[in-house]
Amino acid sequence: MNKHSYKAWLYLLPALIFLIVFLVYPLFDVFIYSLEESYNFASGTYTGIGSYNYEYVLHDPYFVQAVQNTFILVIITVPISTILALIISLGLSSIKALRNLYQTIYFLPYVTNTLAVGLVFMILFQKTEYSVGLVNMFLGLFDISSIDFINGPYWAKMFVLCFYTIWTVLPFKILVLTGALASVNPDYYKAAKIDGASKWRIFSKITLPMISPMLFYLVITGFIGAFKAYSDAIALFGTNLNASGMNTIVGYVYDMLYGTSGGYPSYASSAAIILFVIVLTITCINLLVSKKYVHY
Amino acid sequence: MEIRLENVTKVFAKNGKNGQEVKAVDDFNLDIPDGQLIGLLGPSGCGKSTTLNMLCGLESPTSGKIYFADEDVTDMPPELRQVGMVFQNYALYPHLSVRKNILFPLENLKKDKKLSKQEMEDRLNKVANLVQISDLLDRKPKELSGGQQQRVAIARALVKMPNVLLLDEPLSNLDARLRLNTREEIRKIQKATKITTIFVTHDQEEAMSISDQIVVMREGRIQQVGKPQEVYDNPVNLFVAKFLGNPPINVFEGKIEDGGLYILNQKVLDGYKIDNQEVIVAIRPEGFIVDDNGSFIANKQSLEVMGREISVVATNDACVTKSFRALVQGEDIAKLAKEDIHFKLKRNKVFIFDKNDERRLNDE
Repeated sequence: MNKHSYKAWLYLLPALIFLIVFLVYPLFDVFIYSLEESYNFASGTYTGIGSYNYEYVLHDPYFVQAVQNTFILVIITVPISTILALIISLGLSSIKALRNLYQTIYFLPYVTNTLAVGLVFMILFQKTEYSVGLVNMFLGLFDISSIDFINGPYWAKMFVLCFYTIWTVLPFKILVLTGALASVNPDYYKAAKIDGASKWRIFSKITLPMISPMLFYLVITGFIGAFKAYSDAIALFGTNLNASGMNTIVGYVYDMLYGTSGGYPSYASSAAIILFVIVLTITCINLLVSKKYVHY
Repeated sequence: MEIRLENVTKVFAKNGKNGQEVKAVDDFNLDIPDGQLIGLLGPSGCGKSTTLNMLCGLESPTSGKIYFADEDVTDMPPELRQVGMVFQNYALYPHLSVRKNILFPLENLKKDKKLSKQEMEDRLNKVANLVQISDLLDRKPKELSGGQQQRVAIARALVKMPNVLLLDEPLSNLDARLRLNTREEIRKIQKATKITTIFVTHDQEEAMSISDQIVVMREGRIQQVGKPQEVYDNPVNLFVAKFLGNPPINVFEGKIEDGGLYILNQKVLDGYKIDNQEVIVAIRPEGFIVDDNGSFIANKQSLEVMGREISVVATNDACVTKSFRALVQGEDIAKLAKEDIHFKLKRNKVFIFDKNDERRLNDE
């Protein structure tokens, strides 16, 4: 090790210490727990070492349900929210009047409390003895029979969850994309216009490649965020997510640790490691795909 | 293709609460003959770029008409005008290779104008040869030098065989030496293609050196149009006289009395057919001859010896600037030892302007 790299490591040390203590070590520790059978926090004892925790978790119908829910959430919300944000950002950057007003309105969900928004969604969607809810009233106008979105069929609940997730992640994406669009030098558009490029060609051949690094960033963080979804489901369906069949992987981990049926750190650790592997795999795939389509 | 601008005016609307209307281009009239290279010249904010934008269709005039040949293109969208444009920063698409950048305009062609792959390839190779970038086609713009990017931008503008080529400050992003080369290059390409070309610049030397005609603009109005040498030798007002020439023209206060031109009460030239009045006198740096019998006396401040010529920095009380500059022959150095130097003036390098409106006073 020469003198320069020694110094470099020294400068990196403060950050490295924090990363190791609060990120690497816990991850490592969780991995250990996940192999220790019937680990007990209080006494620090366990009954054996092996893959039993993983087998249990993978065969637990609640976990399978949580994985299914999470994947549906990811597959539906990430593309829809990104495309929607792109369309709205394009709209925003092509208007002059009232742009600031619209930007503020679109940004509101970002600064609104998740649980408060959940409450509003319940009022909109929930069917009670007294009311069918605003959304059902609206559907009633078209002679569609009322549906209980909060306690009703699975697809209805999933619809509300996806709707809610898209609505909450949209503001940040719009913010990032309007910024990215504004940073494209207008001379490119002028040049393309003089060269007779159609609107669609300008968008697909110039705008899209120019903002592709930002789009890619949003897709990656969108995937990770959606895989880690939890509070959204709680806000809509309450804390007993297993009962309503709307649990997510993180929700499952939480329940295993602290929930009413909790107290199983070993199972929670296994589930967390499985989630880690899933997110890691998807992110790697994303990075590989991006090499081909993202222009820096 | 001939271009005609008739009474073209562009007014930009008020911006903000206290904003003022800006008349960027004011009653612009110009005929540009086919195949010429025209330099639009003026300080920043004089409306030259706005004029260029109206020619390519990115802006539409508030009033007036623009004709390409006999066709009225005033309200024609840019893509139908058959113009090629080179932007100041080149605006090469950074994510596309040089080849794809140049092919971009061709791929936009639709219907009956659509070209086959082979035709596109031929056009690409032809234009790449013309601007000498054939060996750079597979690179990305950021892997090119400024001069090479400039060539690619010109190639992209030329590949669709435009009727008019527009260049916005084409040399301002290049370093000094490259600028000289590139401006010759642009001239050569323009001669070879015979495309009517209009370029915008604030650099008088650039405009003078390659233009067939220059158009000097100020605050949206044309000041003077003509061949570079004609405009230099015959400026219509003080602004044009000051704007052209490097080192710049020297300005003095003077007066006309009975046909004689007086500076500091010394008669420096005679035989003018101008009424008696106070005037502004502008003298080109090359208009001074060191001569002990000369009646223009100046106080020497320093000498800058440049071999072939000597630049004399001097001052006198009539000079409106702190000092002025005279270019004299190198062999005159012996005569420059004294503090007070006497000059004779070359009459064709001395211009006389009205003191109030700075118009050239006609000697005829």
